[in-house]
Amino acid sequence: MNEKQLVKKCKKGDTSAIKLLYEIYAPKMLGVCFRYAGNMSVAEDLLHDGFIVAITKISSFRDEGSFEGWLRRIFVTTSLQHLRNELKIGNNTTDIDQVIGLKDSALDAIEAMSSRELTDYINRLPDGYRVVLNMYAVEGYSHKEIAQELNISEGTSRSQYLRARASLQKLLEQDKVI
Amino acid sequence: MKDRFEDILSRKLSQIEITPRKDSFEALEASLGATLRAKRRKVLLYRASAVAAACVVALLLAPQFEMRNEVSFSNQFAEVEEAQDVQEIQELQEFQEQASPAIEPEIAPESIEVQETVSARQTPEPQRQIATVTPPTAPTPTPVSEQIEPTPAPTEQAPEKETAPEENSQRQDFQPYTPQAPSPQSTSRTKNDFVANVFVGALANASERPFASTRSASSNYQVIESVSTQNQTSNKVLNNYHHEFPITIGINVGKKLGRGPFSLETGLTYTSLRSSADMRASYSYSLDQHVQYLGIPLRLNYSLLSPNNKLDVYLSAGVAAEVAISARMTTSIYDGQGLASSRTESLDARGAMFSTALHAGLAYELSPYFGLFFEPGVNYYFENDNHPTTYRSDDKPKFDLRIGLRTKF
Repeated sequence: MNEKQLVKKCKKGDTSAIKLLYEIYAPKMLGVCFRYAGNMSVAEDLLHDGFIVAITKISSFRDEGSFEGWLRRIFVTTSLQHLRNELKIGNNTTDIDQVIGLKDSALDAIEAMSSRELTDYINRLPDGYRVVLNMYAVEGYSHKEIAQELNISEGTSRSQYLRARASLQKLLEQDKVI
Repeated sequence: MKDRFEDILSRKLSQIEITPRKDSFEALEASLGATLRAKRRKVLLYRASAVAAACVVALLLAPQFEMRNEVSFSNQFAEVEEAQDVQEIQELQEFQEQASPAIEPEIAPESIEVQETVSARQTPEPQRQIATVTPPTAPTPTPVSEQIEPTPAPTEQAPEKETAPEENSQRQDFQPYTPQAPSPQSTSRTKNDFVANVFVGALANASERPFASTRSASSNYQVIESVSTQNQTSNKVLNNYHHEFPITIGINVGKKLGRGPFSLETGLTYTSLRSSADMRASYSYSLDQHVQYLGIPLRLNYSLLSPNNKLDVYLSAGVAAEVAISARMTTSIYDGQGLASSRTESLDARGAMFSTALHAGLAYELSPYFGLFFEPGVNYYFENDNHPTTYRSDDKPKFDLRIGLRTKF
């Protein structure tokens, strides 16, 4: 059974198909939720809520697109809805120049890390930095899209992203990784 | 253009996988239980509805030809009866002339001209009298000698009676039937072959009892699908779906099919479907959905009463195709302090939504051109996975009531 057939069965409410869908995508989506939530307890709640939303809306999925992409967007949105109220991102675009730049040694250290280790470092960042970093660098959102999603200015999104990079480098230095 | 940092993060983090707890799917399944059960019944009801609709259409069409004959006969009945009287009298006269001219014929007392004919039959040429039956106001002044003269050509009626048996002569009288002019009383009803209906309809599902909504008690929400399953593993109260009464407004135009009891209707309808779901999981969510459809119905009506009545009782069976002109969902998340965030997005609603409907209608003419109608009925909406879940999606027949104005032209 290919993905298209699986989705079609899920649209009809086939429990076994939904279970299979869950088994295939739940680990990936839990990874998404964990990256945004920053802790596993909240991530598991978001996984549960995100799947309810996804199954409820599955009939609106267009067959021509990537199902995983559609599903991932639902989980990102679910995570953002949860985080949006907790995010306290001020519209501060000053001193961006001071935080630009990431040492090559830092990049080498990041390259050498496992996915889980890197995730743990990113989860130590403040919420605003973490969310913007995930959206821009991992999900591929533009700053304009991030600004719309988080109701901030594009400049603030850029600022948050650069600060996130700088903060990550500081954490690596604190832990004497670099 | 991604720099090295972004490339590393994208590569390492986009596909990160974390195995969820073993009991996590059971919790999800409990949350979705009612929704899934409803969807499983959809295919079965889809087929049953199609078969039922086909049977109803077949049953309605089967007696059509018999009914048409009956209608024609009833319309011609007075004419036939009158013609029969005249012919019987003529035949009786003929018989009596041949048997015994002296015998007093037994004739219908209501026919004055026959009385005169009988008296004239005392003349030596009785056959000629039969052929020249005349109205009482015009007693023939023709002298007897002239009547006795043989005529070169037979009269119009004489050859028919001689050559054709009784049945054939009757059939020849009726076959070139042209529609009889309607009586003044029924003029408006029989001439008006076209009907226009403006109506408003509301769907209601009588098979479902209202559920104690989480909204205010005065709300007109009706719950047709409850998935308020208590999640035993994580003690979360999960989502309830609420569907408002769908409202349909529309205009139909119908035309009578011949002189029989059938008429065909089509038109345009607008339907508004609003739904909401309150979901209490880790956080409190509210999903508000609004889908609007434009539809084209096509239906066959079968009138149970004569068109001459002011009151009409009819049955109708039909199909409809609807397309969504708007489908939107607003997802809101609440925390302890109220609304935290809200997001509205368009939903996919591709292709047509097909449905079948059976209605029993009651129409009353307030004037020759205007009337009211009242139609309770049942609808079944066929599955279309490309449309959002609405009140119609729970694969149960939906009862509705349509009330409207009707004009004939």
